[in-house]
Amino acid sequence: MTRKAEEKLFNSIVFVFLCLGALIFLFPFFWMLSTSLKGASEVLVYPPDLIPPAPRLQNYLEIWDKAPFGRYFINSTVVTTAIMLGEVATSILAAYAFSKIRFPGREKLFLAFLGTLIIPNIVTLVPAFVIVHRLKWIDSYMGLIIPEMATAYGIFLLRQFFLTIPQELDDAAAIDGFSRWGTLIRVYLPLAIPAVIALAIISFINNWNNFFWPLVVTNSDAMRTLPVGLRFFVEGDGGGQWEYLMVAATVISIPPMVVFLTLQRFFVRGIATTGITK
Amino acid sequence: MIRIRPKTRALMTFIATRRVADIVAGYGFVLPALLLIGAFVFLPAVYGFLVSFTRWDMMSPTRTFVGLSNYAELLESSEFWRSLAVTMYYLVGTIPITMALGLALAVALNRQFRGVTFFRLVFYSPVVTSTVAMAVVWLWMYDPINGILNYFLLQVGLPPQKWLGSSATAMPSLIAMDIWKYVGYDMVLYLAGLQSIPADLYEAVEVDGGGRWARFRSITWPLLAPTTFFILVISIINRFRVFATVHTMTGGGPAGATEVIVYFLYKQAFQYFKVGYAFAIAYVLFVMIFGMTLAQWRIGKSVHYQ
Amino acid sequence: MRVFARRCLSTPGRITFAALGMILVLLSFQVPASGQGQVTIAFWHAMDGPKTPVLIGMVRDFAKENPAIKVDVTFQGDYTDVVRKVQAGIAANALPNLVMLGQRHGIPNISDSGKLLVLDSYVTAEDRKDISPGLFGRYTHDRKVMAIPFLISTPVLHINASRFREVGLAPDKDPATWDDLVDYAKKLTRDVNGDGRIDQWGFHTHGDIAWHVFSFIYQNGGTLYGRDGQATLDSREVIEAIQFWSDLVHKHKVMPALTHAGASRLFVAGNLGIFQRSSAFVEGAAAQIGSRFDYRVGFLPKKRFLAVPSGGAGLGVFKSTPEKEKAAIALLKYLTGTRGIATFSKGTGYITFRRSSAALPDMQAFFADNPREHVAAQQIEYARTNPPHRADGAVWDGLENVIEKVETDAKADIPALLKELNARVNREIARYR
Repeated sequence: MTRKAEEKLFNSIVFVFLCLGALIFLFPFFWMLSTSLKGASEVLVYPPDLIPPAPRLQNYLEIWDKAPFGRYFINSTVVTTAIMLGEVATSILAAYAFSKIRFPGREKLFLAFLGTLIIPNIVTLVPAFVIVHRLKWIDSYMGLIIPEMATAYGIFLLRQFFLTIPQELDDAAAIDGFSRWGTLIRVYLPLAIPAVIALAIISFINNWNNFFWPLVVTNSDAMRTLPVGLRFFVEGDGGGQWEYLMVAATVISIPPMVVFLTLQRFFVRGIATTGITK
Repeated sequence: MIRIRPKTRALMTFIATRRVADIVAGYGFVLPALLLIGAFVFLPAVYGFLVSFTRWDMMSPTRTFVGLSNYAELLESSEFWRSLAVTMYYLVGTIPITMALGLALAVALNRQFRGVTFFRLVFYSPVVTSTVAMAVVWLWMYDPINGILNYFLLQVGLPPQKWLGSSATAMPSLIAMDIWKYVGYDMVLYLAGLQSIPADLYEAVEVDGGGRWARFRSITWPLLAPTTFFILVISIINRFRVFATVHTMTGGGPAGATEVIVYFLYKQAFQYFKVGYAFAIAYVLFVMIFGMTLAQWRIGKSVHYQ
Repeated sequence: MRVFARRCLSTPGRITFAALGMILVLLSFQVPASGQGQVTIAFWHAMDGPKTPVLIGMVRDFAKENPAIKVDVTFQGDYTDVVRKVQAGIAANALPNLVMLGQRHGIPNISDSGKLLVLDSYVTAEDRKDISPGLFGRYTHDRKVMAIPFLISTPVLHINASRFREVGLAPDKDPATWDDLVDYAKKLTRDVNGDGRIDQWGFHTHGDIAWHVFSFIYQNGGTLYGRDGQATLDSREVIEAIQFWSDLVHKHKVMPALTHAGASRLFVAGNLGIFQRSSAFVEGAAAQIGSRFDYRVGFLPKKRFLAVPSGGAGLGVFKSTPEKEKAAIALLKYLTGTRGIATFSKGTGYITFRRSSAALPDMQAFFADNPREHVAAQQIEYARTNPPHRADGAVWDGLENVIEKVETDAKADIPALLKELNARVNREIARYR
């Protein structure tokens, strides 16, 4: 067999495996969707129907009555977007400092930041709650947003990226009369767009799905976010009503998917540019 | 009086002001993150550390200082070691497979062909979803009576499994779900790493008559070492902290078969009300992960400079 | 895109964000609309699902009758979530006024924080006569009343009477003893379509396994703790109860191992003859079963005694200002009084545990129409429990572990497992004296 034909054969086999893999990977989503469109009796039918015989779109309407999912959705959107913007802003600033400015204690401080990534959040839960309470931010957007607005992960990611930008750019900017701030905004930022977008995506997804902190810091349904709402639904009488649970799971999964799909072009490129893998 | 030449003095002044400006700028830029992380993560963590030396349930007005006895207790506790073993089982079960599959997928999808973006999206999509939501979906799939997985098994003539209901199969069930969820994450990181390997290196091997495997062994794998290293570090840190899936799907059972260390910690804090003890566990965990990460960092550094 | 990014971080961009931030802050303010001389109290509860409106409705009625009191009633998750919230609340001094406390969720610890109001002076002699002491004891700590029972359930037997008829059992006869239970269950376990797979089971319990194990322990005359506060989990009575449980799975083969979470669906689908689950499940079961089969509710069997554990929650009051305490007590009395318990239990299916409530004419009529609900109301008289103990969490967890081991392994050494558990629990008790 010629080299080219052999190559083609190999690629075809790989393609088949990829298709099989994709099928397996997509199956849980498919099953989630399928169950979400079934009626209560159809869910427990044996042998189970892969495709709902009479798809019930009204499940998706009824879910809004089962629990205040509408309110949860709004809260999740507002909170996640705000945190994402804040995280990007604080990470850009700190990452620039850690990568380009020499100041005493820089390495130790960075290490301390990294250390915060390892601490299980159960440990910080109650003390953080006390602090938030003193600030009178319990059960409010402030309490949901502010404490989450900076993470070491974002700083780490962007710092790695900034490290790949040669020092000469800094010097050139200095000669051109740019202040540090100016250098950051006008020189670094435009270059960093892919990495920043990658961070924004990661931040959005992580915070959309964040469960523990919103659970602890909110007291009323008016302030709760979707993951907390879903968990309460699972525990309450929703437990056992698989069709509604699947609707909730679907609804929660859609926004991060949408965000990811629209911006995914930047994603791999963004990760690659951080040189985090060098 | 020491005579300083004007040039030297100018230089010293320049350095001094530059230095001061740097310090101000440095801390200034870091300030927002510092304040936030300091106040909401670092301070609580320090507070938790102090509590780990007490016997306290966070409710009673009296706090008994007990020194290191919480730490001693956990070192003697068979449940602690068991939950550590369970966690290790989880790590060893998930990380190698996820990384290997992620690498394979990345290599397969590092070309341009019709549908490559589709495949990349498909394999990454589980990463994007909420862990709790997916835990519920898999819980439903694993249902021993009505779950679809047992149905498939029966269709091909295999016996139905108890999945989460049996000590033997509970952890493998969780591992399977974890692999599904995170293969895409490793894949994307490997893709990024692969894209930074210059193409001409491959050509050199081809010219020498090397096939696909030779290419992989001599170029791809060694050059991916930093990526592999990074993924390993992140994977270990993340898997050590697993909690939501266990909480939603098994509650640590059956018979403690899935009681990973963070879940054990959670129970000690909120069911047994031994908050001081729970925090001691958390700090032991912290030291372990930190130590492991540091060790990997050292090893990684020497690997880098080969 | 680049332009957008740059615009965002330019000065006008940052001002916009600041403005957005301020709007968010304003949105976050929920100014409490308290009228003149009005007292506002906060009530944390753990009720979720279709029964919640009953509680909310009662609170609203209370507010109507007491215009000087405004009640902020919020759902806080399950009983464990409430405890977590209470923990955080104690640390931050941010506690509600009325709180729903799960009967096995930390009442001793919360009481010892000193923040709960001791309710002895608000409980009358009639109250004490009105509520079965086995039940009331569950909410006393250090001989002081720390909460009033409110949302109460016991396990009951949910019975598929149609199945009983099919296998030749009298459809309205409950299994009265353990032996009866085994006998009935054996008849009810069968392979209907001859494919080698058992399709219909005789007996199963819901999750919350420890609770159901308690019922067997109490029926056998055992207790969890002795008078000295030490655990007695390795006593003969407890061993026998666990052995019985194991026999159900391995010897008589009438209970499938470890699928407790799916047992409800099994029962509702008609494939389980006798199902032990909380009395709170009755309404939901009836709704899900519809007319698929004849569904009735029966008493738990007895061994030495007829005895049931109690489950659910009570209402406690946290200390605060005299006005708020007074308002919270007023709400407490409204909800847990004779009329309150009648309204609540009729609407939700939780137990009418007050004898005076059960004696009310409309409750009697209700029971006549709903014999299923009546079973639990009668059974609560046989409630047998230990008072809440600091080690309850450890006992619960430990027993669940033991049962899971026992169900998976027919040869499990039950006395050894229980001895080990007992020693462990007593170690905990000693440490936290």
